[in-house]
Amino acid sequence: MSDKKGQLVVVGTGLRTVGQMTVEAIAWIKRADVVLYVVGDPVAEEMIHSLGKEVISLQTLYSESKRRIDTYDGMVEEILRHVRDGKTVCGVFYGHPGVFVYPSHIAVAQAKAEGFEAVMLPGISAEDCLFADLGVDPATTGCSSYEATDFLFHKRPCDPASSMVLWQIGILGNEGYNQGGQYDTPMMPLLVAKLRMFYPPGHEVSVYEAATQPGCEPIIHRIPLEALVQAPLNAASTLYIPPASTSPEDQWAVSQAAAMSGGS
Amino acid sequence: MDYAQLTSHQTMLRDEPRTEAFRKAIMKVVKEGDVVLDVGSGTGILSMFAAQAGAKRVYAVELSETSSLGAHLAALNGFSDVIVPLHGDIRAVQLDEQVDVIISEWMGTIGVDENMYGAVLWARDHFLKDGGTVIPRKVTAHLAPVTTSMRTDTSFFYGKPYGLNLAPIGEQMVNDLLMSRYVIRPGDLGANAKELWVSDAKDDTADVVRAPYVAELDFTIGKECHVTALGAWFTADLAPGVTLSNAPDAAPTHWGQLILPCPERLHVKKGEKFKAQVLAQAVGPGPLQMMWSVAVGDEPGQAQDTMGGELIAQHTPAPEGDETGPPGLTELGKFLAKLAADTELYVSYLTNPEKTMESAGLSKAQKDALMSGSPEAIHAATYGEATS
Repeated sequence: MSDKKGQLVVVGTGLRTVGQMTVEAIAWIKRADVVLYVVGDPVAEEMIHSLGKEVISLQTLYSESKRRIDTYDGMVEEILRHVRDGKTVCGVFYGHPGVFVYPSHIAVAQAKAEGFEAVMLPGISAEDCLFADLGVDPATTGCSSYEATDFLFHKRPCDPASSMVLWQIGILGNEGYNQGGQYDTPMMPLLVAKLRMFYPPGHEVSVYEAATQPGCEPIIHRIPLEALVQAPLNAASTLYIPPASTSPEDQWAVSQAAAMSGGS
Repeated sequence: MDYAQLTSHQTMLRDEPRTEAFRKAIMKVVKEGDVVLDVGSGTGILSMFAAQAGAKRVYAVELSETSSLGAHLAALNGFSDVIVPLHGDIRAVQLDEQVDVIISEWMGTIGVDENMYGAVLWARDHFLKDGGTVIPRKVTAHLAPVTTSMRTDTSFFYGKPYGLNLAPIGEQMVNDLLMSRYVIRPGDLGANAKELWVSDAKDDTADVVRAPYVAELDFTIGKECHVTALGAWFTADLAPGVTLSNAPDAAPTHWGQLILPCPERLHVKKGEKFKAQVLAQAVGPGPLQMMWSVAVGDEPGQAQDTMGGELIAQHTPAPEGDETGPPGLTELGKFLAKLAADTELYVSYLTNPEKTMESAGLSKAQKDALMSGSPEAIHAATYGEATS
């Protein structure tokens, strides 16, 4: 344990604030000297303000056309400033604080590097919601999970016999921030063309959006892969691709296992 | 209007000024051999006009089940080799080719209010050839203070019917007019109409429909009268020299005019200043939510807002320069924030939501919204102006 006085605890609000905040997240928001948050949901904001002692929004650091990386650096610096002041700081982020959230990881790493106690607590991510809502168990066929733009521009392994999740499909190729949450995705035909190398054009995929309001259903559009180019998407859209084939047994491993157990 | 109901289409087809204006425009714009896209084709009447005008192919895209009737009518009239019926959302269909002309009768009573304009812009950006034409090219909404007496008769509810006090029903009925078809006579105008906003299918970017439509208009009252509402309508430029309007002085159409009622009659004198602010915004796939306020001279404004005719809240417009703060939360929003932070309260809500909401003092509209399962309804009831 660090002997430096400042401390950082990073927590998440879950995708649906009502019911998805963990008990320890609520406790740390109450306990912290300063709470800094990026949640984009006025209900979560209200909750944080009602629980926290000194509450500061980091949302104001965003601006149209500003590169996201510059915004994130500003967030990290603001969080660390309070930690260096010797305060117990709680950083609150939408969803799971460590899933598709850059500044939370950097802030924890930076605080540790500077000798402060820092920890990230898990929250409920969009992937957790997706598994529940689509009835997918990643244990059945395996599941690969990529950020859509990253998948497009890197040679990531793609196994059509396993499930695949592509995150942030609605902001494919975008680096900026748009307050309306709607982005042009001119590179979508490229992505579809790449996926067509592994999947048939009519393969049914799901464009998924977790419910963010209590009592509401998630949004699930099941469409053929080739229709993805024209599908309405937004910043919260995730693409789920079910397996298109079965995986053959690895005969070498099976025979080796049989030999080890004394079988033929 | 529910486009899955045949009665809606019967009403539109019987509207001859509307239908004839579109026929005239289509005959003028569509050339022999053109490829045409009809967005929201309904019974396919405009598609058949395009086929008559010489189009070699007409893609008739209709979301509702009326699509099959359109296909039947196209075959019955000998256009099955020209008209290609496509059942589904325009954003999900695939065309084999780009089109020369897009036709769409997308207008609500003031144009954008039915929330269909975005589909037309999407079709334009994805399917229209460079230099292609959209019918209508431009739709202009107009607004004026009006003295119409065609308001919902609320007197019944203020008269203690059956010996009971039912006045609150009358108070809410002031908003019932929104989606009704009323008729304003030219003599009902308290001032000359002004342009509310313009939808330009050639120049508008696709994201224009995501931002709220906002207008602040200053009128000079033309005669001493009692202003009872704001009246609104549109004028559509369908093709060069062909317009369609539901203005009070135009030929009557099925649209009538839109009436945004004032909470009470406003006595105004000739030459007096009259200010109207109107905001229309999509909160989901249905009609736009409207908010409006009126003010006479230097008096503080009276504001109303509504969703599909149901009163959500009477509110005071936000002060200028206050746009950067966090959105206001209604009592429902504050309740949800407590629900998120308090597990005991959440257990209580899961066990008996009605009682828990009752204890929190939520209004019936807020309770109904929360129990609706509709993200749009909950969003609208959560993030509006805070109610007292």
